[in-house]
Amino acid sequence: MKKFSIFAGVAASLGLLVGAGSAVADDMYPDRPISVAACYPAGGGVDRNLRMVERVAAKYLGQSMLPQYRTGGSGTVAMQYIKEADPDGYELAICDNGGAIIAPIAQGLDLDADDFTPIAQVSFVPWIMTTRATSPYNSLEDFIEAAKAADGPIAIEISDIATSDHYGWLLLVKLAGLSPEMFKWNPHGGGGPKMRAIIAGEGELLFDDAGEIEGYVKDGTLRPLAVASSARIPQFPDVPTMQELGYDVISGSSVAIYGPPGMPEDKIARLQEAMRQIKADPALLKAFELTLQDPNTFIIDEFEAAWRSDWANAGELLRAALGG
Amino acid sequence: MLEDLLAAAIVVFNWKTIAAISAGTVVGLMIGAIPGLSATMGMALLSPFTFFVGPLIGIPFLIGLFKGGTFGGSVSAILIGTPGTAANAATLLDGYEMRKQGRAGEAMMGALNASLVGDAFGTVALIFGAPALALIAIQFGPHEFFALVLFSLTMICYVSGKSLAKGVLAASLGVFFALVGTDPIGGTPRLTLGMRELQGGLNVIALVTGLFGITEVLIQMESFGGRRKPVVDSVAVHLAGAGMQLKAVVAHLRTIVRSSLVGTFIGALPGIGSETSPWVAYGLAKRASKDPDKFGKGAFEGVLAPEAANNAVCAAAMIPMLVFGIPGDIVTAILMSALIAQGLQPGPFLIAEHRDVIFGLFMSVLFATVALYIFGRLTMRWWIRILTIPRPLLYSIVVAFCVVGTYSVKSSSFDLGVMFAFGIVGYILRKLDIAIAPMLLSFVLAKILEESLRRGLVQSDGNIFAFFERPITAVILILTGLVLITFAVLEWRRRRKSQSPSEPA
Repeated sequence: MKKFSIFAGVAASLGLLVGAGSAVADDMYPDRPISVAACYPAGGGVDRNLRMVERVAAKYLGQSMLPQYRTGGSGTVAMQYIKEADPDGYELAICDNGGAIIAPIAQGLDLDADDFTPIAQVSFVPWIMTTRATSPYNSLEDFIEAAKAADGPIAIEISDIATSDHYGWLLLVKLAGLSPEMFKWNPHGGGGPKMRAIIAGEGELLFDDAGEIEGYVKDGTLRPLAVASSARIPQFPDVPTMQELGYDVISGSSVAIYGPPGMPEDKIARLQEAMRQIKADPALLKAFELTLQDPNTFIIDEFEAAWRSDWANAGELLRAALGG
Repeated sequence: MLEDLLAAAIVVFNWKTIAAISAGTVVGLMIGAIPGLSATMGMALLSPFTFFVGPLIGIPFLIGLFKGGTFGGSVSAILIGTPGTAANAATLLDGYEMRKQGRAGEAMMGALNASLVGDAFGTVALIFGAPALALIAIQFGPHEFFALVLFSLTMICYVSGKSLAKGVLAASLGVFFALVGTDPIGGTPRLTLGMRELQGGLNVIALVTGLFGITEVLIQMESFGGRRKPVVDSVAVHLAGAGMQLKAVVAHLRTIVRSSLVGTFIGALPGIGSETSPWVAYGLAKRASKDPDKFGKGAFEGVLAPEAANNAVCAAAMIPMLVFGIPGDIVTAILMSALIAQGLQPGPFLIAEHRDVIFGLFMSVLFATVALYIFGRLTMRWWIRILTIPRPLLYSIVVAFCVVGTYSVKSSSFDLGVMFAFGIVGYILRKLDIAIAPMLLSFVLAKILEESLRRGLVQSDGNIFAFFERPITAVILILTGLVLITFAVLEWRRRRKSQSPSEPA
């Protein structure tokens, strides 16, 4: 093993000398650490997912993943960086759909689905449509009926204009045959301030994830109405999915790993093979259990389709919402 | 309650937890003392390691780091005129002046003692007052934040140095630079000159290290003149004994307690504590002082006030995070992430369901206060030795640390350019005798001011009077008006007084 790594090191240095793309280096991929650009500062959910993967990745890749932080622009700085990075497989990025899809659209950046190579979605946490327990809405249908009957706009608390939860609402509103003008979108500047407004009784409708609302559902402050995922979630087995109710809304926070466009097929395959092994690693499963993430949402082969459909839907809805 | 604390004390009083707190404090002191490296970054980078050790090892380590880093930032502010973090920038105003007057030891011990008292205040508030303070904090929406930030901006009156007009000019520059980036609502890029790197706005760490660190180095370079002399010839720095120090604390108890309360209260509001409260505490101390003209020229209270306030924030900032699961800034988000990784979901049931762990956490916060004092005191002599390094070498090291610190925040060489550019901006401002502090203060606050104003307006359908209709907002806005009026009146009287002796009798 030691001999092997010395050989790999020599090969790597040779590869560097001869120039990238040498046949020797390709067969050995990866023969040096892979840097992964996180799109938000260390310490948040994206970083947590990166660290959970990175901790076991070396076992299956034979090389470590080096976390880097290219933050800013609501996540778009890292995505722009990876779009232009060398597609040699040594530069990847990790970001959520907020920074990878929604912020680029909201900021009018020249990016789309083809500017990246989707590798794997590490986790997906669905939005749960939630209301204050004192509100008149007892189900998703109540809300839609009320919206149709209302004289003025109904207030909805969102993280910000053109954020991931706003997009989820817009998708629901569209599928329910309503229009965005029937609502007053109150921006709060983040998930924390949004929750604050709800707890303080300043608003009554929001999309948030299970971890954030669980305690408040238990203490009777909030009531979950519907989950924006394809299956019910373990924390709230009695809450129906929007799909069950006839609205095909899959929306939430999806943390995924991307590469630059034009990566060679064999390198993508090598990375995805490692991802499948990482997904089954006991240490990763344990970390997922502690952080209440569902390992079934760690998807590799199915990810590209979801990625493309999100780009298509979000582009249309958010541009309309932004009035552009 | 007390039984819980005692039980927790026994659990926490084991060598592993104590070692974790001590290690965190020492690492924090060092990271904080290096310009550009902040406790926040240290916590972010080291937090993943806490996922895999027990909750009463990993989280106490992070708390020690936070507290140590917050105090550590004052070391470089006082000794080399470069704040370690944005939270220590106010300390520099008088701390660095004291150092120039050969009172480095006094300033450092004052900073440590004030930090200790502030820290203890915040910790007691966390342990005994968390639910009550959280109920107040939860009432602070965009309208309230707008009013509070507007109030904090009036502190420009007190940090402008000799000329208020120049102070306001510097503050306007700060607002201008804060506008660079992305519109907070809607996300349109603005004032970015087409540069993608500017879309995230100017990095505050690059701005601070540039405006203070690089500027100071440029100023120092003027007087190198081939002499390789250190700042002081020997470490003849006198560190006062415990009795003298107690006396100094007691003599300024009002300032320290007032500042601690400011830090605790503003700290408990999610998100604005560490960067706002030191300035507010400084301004209020100057306002209350019998001799306000001393401020900015090496006033001891000018060091005590911001240091008491920023350390009071440490524990208080955990209140909304623990009680409601709402983290206000990166530090509390990191702590929350570390708690979640241990299977502890912050929110309404955290304290009830995990009483043992949470009281263990409270006890570690308290232990960290003690650790901060012990290690702060033990390392004091070594910090002061920095001044015996020959000046050209010392300031070369400062530049190196500024570069490393600024680069490491986002791995961005663009930020290095920003840092050097602001070094030059700071140099020009210093040459024109324009105070830099108002610029930093307004840079930090303008963003929150704009966001809260615009979000508040959206929520109240564009009605500006909604800001006066809410009770908390109305009270703060009236206070803001009173501060401005009394400042104007006092200033007018002072000028008249200072003019009268020169008039022919």
